[in-house]
Amino acid sequence: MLTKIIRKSTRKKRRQSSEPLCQNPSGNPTTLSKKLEDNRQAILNTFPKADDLVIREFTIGSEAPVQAFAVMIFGLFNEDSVNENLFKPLLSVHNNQLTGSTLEIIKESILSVSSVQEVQTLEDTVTGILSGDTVLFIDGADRALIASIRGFAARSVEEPSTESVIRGPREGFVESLGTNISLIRRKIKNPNLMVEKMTVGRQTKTSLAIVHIQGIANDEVVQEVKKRICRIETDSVLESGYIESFIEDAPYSLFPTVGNSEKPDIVSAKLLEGRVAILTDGTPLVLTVPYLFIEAFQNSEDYYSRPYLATFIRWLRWLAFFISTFVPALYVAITTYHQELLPTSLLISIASANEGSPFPTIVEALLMQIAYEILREAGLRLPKAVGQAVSIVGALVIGEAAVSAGLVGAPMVVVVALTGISSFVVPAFTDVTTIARFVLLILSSFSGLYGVMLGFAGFVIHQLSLRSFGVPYMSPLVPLNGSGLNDVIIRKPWWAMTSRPHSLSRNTTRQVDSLAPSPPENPGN
Amino acid sequence: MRRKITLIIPTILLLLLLPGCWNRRELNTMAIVEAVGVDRANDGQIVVSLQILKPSAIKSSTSEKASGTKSVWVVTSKGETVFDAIRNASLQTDRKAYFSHNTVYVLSEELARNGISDELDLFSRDSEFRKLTYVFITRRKAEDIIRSDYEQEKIPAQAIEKLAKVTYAASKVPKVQLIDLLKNFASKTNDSIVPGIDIIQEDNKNPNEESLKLDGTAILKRDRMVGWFNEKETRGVLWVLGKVKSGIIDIATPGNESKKSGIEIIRADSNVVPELVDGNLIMTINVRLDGNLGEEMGSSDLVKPESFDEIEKQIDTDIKEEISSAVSKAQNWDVDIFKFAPDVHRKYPREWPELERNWREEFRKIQINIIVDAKLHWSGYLKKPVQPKNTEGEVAQ
Repeated sequence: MLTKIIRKSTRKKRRQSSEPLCQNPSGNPTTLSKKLEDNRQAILNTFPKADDLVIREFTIGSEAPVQAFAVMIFGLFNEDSVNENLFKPLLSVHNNQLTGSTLEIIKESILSVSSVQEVQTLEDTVTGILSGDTVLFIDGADRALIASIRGFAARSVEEPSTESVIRGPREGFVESLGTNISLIRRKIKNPNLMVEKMTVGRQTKTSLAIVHIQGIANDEVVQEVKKRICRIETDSVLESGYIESFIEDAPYSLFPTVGNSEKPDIVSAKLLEGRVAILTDGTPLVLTVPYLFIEAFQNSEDYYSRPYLATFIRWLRWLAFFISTFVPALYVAITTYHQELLPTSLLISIASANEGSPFPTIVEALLMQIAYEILREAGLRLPKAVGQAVSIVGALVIGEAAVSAGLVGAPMVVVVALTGISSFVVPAFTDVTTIARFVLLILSSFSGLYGVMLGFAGFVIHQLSLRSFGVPYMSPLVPLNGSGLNDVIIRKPWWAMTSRPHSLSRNTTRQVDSLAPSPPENPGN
Repeated sequence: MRRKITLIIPTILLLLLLPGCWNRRELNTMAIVEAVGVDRANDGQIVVSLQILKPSAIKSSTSEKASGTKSVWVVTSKGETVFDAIRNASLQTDRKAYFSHNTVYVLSEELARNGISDELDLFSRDSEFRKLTYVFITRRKAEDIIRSDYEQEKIPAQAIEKLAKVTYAASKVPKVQLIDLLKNFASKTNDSIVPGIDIIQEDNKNPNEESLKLDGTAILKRDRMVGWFNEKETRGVLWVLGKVKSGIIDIATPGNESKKSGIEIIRADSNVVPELVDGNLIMTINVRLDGNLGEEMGSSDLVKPESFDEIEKQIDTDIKEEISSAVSKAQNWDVDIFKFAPDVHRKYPREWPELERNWREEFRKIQINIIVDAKLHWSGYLKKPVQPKNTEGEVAQ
């Protein structure tokens, strides 16, 4: 029900911007003919084999009937609404109403449809038909009317299975672009919220919406986003990942420079910090740019819960990120190169646990890491009902059985388990940590801590060289920005976070300084 | 991009290969040595005893308590030099000895009497040996100590290490690490003390029940051992060095002189002030200490100012006695184990070159002046001693 309301409300906001965002070179437009039959033939020629194409012919008026037909694609239009608001008024027209241009009158006083558009070219009508609009051709007019009465099967707004929260909104984006825009609109009720639509994909003609808040987002970034999206000339865009890979700053980098989220509150927060969101039709994942390194360590719930715990959890995320990236490499480096670094009693426990294990430590580490990755992947792909089997078999096989069979040492299982769990604490970087972990493992097996240090230095240098849409990737850490750290090292209470991130927005004042709550001055009164 | 890659890959390869950091060793190819004993055989060869960890035995004994298998293995080997002897051990051990976790060096008295610097050279030179390893001298053969068993710990070497670490509790034996000896060797004047270690029979009926005990202090003149200090003399040395941190001072209970009471040292420190009077050195040794009436044997009520004063006086004489006995013995043996020389050097830099030339002579002539400032503060949970009361409510005698 809710979704229907949302969908209806979005229908009113159809494309109003007149100028196209990209100058797409599209051959010579075919103008429509005044003869109804010619138009009908043109449509049929455009869709030579489309059994789901519905062409409804009818006449308007009874005494001097005007021939007309409507075209739409089965399943893409809202049948009830079309019958009620388009055909019913058209079929009950009296001739005395038809004075002057039939088309104008129909558009202006007969159709009870919120969005009706006049088009003159065949291409526009075809786009309308494919998008689920109902196109109305009337004899004697070299124009057609596009009535937007779309309706198709869609998922309703639900809580996304990723990014789940305890405190905070539960709603998540869906596959419909209109619904997604409306979800953001409902959070930011401000005419400065700019929504610009584009179409990408020669075959798929996927709609995109670029959303930003005028006055907060930097114009250069917005222009840059548009420019990069206009460049895309590809067959298909089925998911926002396609867009991401076309607009990334560092396409070869391990680190993502485009963020994504499935939740309207997160995307709204990012818009309010001065970022630009790219919504793609057909996917609930919304891209946000610029994307900074520190964003991976910020979670929406940090901002909804009280600052102490939020700060602590944030440190925990940094720790978990380092654990999941470095611990296997450090373990291998220290136990095979730098045994002197371990406290004696720890060395003794590790040595006794590894006694009799047949493989070198690095082989052990790689085996266990790969086994873990296999289990993780299997757990993701399996039907939910079988999922439990994976965890039982996985826990038994890579945990208990591998140790008791003498294949690997128990400390390695601890290391792999710790690493695996930690990598989920920073979900945005799960892929980064997985790859980086293997790279560091190999380096550490070649040259111990020196290799780990080399790899670490390499990663840091690389990260420092990255930019996302002109913003240094590591900001506000490098270049250092003091007020930016209010939201990185710690999470200050809302009344203390008076400025927006400096690297993202020039309009940095979020609120006045004096908002800290205090008890009333005269408590007695 | 391709240009970048052609630059990056060789750079990484060079960075990985050029430092020559290839020293990969798996844990199960290493013989982790926990203690090293050095003796000299009758033919003059060095005998090295290595206490090597048996990881498998430790693993099994965690599940089956005290399964009887020893968790260390002792290997003894001979060689012309210490290094040679250690490498000769690899003829007997299937794994290469690894010394970074070695915690204890034990040297035999016999060897120490002839100087230990030759034997310690390898341990100070090689990167695998740590300078923080504890050093002990034994009246027996070092091998016996390395081979001995210990009840509390699975690894006897760790027991020895922990024995060294708790020496502060009694302050009757010093705690000496290799670095301390090396520092003393590097100075021209300082002599060294090294704790002694011995095996005692726990139970006379069962000769296998033996245990380790720190016993006495070996006194080294430069690197050559000259004799032993007993516990009292050792504490005298430790007072001067400021190394007494805790311990018990026994005094005769005031009012019950036949019985003893124990004073616990809570805090103590000391400093030495040299003074040059007419070419004669007088060292003023200031000892400050805070104490605690830890135990009273006897029946008099000690918790009153007069008793405390008397106890403090007794502590005073006790400490003076300890220090002067140590100093006179050291002066007899010509060993500056108190590190007087650096104190003099610091106070009289101009006169020092002259003094240094003849330091042994000067040291023997040093007069000492001991000032003890003992303060007794607390008496624990009790005021009157624990004694059964008689019917009149008086303390029964």
